[in-house]
Amino acid sequence: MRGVAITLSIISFVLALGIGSTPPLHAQDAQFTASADRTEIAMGEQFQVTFTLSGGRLKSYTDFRAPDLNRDFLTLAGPSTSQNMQIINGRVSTSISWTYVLQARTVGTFTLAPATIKYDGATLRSGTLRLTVKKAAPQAGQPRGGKEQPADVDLGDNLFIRAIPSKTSVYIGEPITVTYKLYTRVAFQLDNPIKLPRMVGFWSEDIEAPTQLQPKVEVYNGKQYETFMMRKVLYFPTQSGDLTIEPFEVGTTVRVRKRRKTGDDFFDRFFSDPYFDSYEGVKKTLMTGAVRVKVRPLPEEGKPKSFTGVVGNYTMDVTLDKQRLKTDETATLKVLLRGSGNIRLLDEPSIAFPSGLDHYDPAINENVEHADGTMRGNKSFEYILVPRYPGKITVPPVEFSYFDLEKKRYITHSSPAMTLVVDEGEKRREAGEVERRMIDYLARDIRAIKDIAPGEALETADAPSVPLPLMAAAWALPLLAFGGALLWKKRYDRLHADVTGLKRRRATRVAEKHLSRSRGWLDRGSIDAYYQEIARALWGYVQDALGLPTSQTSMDAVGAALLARNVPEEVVAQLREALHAVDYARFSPTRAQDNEMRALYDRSREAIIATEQALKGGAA
Amino acid sequence: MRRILILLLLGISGAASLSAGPVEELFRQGIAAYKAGSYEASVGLFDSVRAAGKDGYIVQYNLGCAYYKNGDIGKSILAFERALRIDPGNVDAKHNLNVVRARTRDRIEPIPLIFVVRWWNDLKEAHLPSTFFLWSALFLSLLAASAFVFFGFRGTMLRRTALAMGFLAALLFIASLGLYRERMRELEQQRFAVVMQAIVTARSTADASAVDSFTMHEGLTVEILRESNGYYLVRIADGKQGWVPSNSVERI
Repeated sequence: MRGVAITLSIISFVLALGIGSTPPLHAQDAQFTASADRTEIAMGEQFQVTFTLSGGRLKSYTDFRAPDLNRDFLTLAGPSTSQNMQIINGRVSTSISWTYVLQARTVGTFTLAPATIKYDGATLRSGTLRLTVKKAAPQAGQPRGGKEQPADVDLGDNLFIRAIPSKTSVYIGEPITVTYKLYTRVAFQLDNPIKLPRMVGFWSEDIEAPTQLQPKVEVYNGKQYETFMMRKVLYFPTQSGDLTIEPFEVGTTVRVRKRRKTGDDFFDRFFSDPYFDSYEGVKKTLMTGAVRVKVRPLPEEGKPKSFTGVVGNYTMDVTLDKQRLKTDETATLKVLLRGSGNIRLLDEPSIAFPSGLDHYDPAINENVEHADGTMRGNKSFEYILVPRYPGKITVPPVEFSYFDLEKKRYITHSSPAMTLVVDEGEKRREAGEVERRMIDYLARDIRAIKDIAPGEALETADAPSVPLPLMAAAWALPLLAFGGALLWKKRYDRLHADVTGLKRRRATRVAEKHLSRSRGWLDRGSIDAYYQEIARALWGYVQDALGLPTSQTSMDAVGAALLARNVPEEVVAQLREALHAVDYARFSPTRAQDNEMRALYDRSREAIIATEQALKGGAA
Repeated sequence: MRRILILLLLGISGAASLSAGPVEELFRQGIAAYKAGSYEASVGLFDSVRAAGKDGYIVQYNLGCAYYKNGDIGKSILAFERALRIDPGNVDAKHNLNVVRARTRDRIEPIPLIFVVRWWNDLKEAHLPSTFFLWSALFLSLLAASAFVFFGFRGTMLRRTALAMGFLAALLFIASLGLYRERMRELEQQRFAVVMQAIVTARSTADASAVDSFTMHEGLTVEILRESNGYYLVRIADGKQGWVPSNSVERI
């Protein structure tokens, strides 16, 4: 009795109730029909329209087109298709149907235009449907047969639905689990798919939405019920204030006992025996109460700069896949957030990448599970980083803040700054010099602006040209200086003509001349002339070399002058001997031998050479 | 706005003790605004200093910095180029110019030149005409000194050395004169200009309907070769030439 098999697939149930079908349009061996589960509908009530193609080889249909259902009605669901195969008396018949769940919007009589389908090259049209929408009746049940009376459908606390929130006072972002549970003491069936109400101020996610409802026995308010957990939903409030989780509605059909009123007590009593009872379905819409939630804003106190509204409990793990790479390679920065809270809404952390490091939008990966009334899991953000130039690049710290619900305060995780060592890659070497230089400058900032000292005046940009007078002066000056200097030098030279120096430099040459001439005289036998020439050579040399005036030609004066010029004693003695020998030979009455005369020549010559060498050596 | 007002007040109170004049005062306010991060105000102040005639190196340099920080790449490059026009060897202005240029879109590889030409050009760009004139005067003096030695003295070695020195000095004299003349012409004709529009199309003739030749972007420095009815024939570093509307570039 209790073990009611409830299936969310309602099609078969409704099709059994199906009435009001219109004859199909002709087709060769296939039929295309339209049907509604009822033609008289109460305002706001849900009903179904089904288009069925039956018979024939159903694989060969194409292009099913439903009429515009939304003109007069609201399509709640559909089309859901189902296929059927029947073998009756050895004849196989197949059918395919499209079912829409509709809701009436306005009161009136409507004609549903035919649906079309292409089959075997021909277009089949279903019939039209006439539907009447009436004002909502106080009772949703449909009486069947004139004599049958609806049972009392005031089910009281025998069938109801509850929304059970895990808590009603939360912070923004703190999860609330609401369990929608059906309590029953009667047999029932669910009419249509469960639809959750639209939420304002909440971000919601289903934790459990069983397709097969499992009964459980529970005592509530002192009564034993069979309960079915229908939905478990996680709500994250997104705004503060008094919010309402809208009521949840579900339509059911309840089996109630049908009573025949025959007017005959005996028969009535007889048929009221449970054995003879028959049942009928009565529509009943169940609704939860609204859940009111008080949502508190997060405290302003201690709110970190990097806080973006994340609530929960997280850990952060930041990893860089390499520390060293080349300019034409990439690195991956992975930020992994792990913990509990609304992981799906976690945004990528804002990272201030340096200008020399290009990055792409992160690849986001999330793993989420539901546990302990909240969302758990991890979310990773992977950034591909491309360095632009070689060198050391610092990947800045990643900051992530959240509000910890347990500790009731803000917590900030920060990763350490990481350094990437970038080497020169192939591609970069191929890049032009200008490109490379410019890229290097991309990482740098401009230098500081310049100030002027207190009291200093600003300058005006001068004309770039050099003033003409300055120009003339700058060129004329060296030329004038040159001319002047040359003139002065000439004059100086004239005034300070170095007669003695000249004589001294010429002394040896003159002496040599006299000596060679003396040899000529000797060869010709002219003895006097010979001595005279040697004397001239010697005396002339001494006078010229020492710059002595002709008057000072005493032997002593010559010796003193030579010694004064650092000429060694023996050289002086040699020269003196030569001079003495010449004088002696000139004025001696005895004629010297021929070989003595030749020796005198040699002695004189050697004396001159020695003196000259001594003088040069002394001067050097 | 309030910040500027405060800065103005601060500036005025400091003016009496420090300033050399009202223009210097504006300049100091510009620096204060820059340091406070209100670059737009800073640009305005430096620009009014420039408009007041104090367009020396420092003002152009600071103007370049402020424009850059304010996100105006083209004007920043123009200001730094002008600063370098006044003080060609300045390393700070060169550095900043490179930093700002790195933020422009054009990457133009210059035509490879033989090293002598490159040295010549680099030398020319690195100095003011007055420097070259000074060099020419120095080399002329050296030439005169060599000539003096050559004509005034008799020693063979001395005269030979003087002759060689004289020739070298004459060569360098002529070179510096050449540098002076070229540099002078460059500056007087204001041959170089900076592209001031985000994107400029250079065309094959001085005509809006002419065939596109190539495109340039804000901040590129170009050389103006000729002018014809509101168009400039410009050349970029890689040797390409094309006509652009004269209002799309500004002479340095």
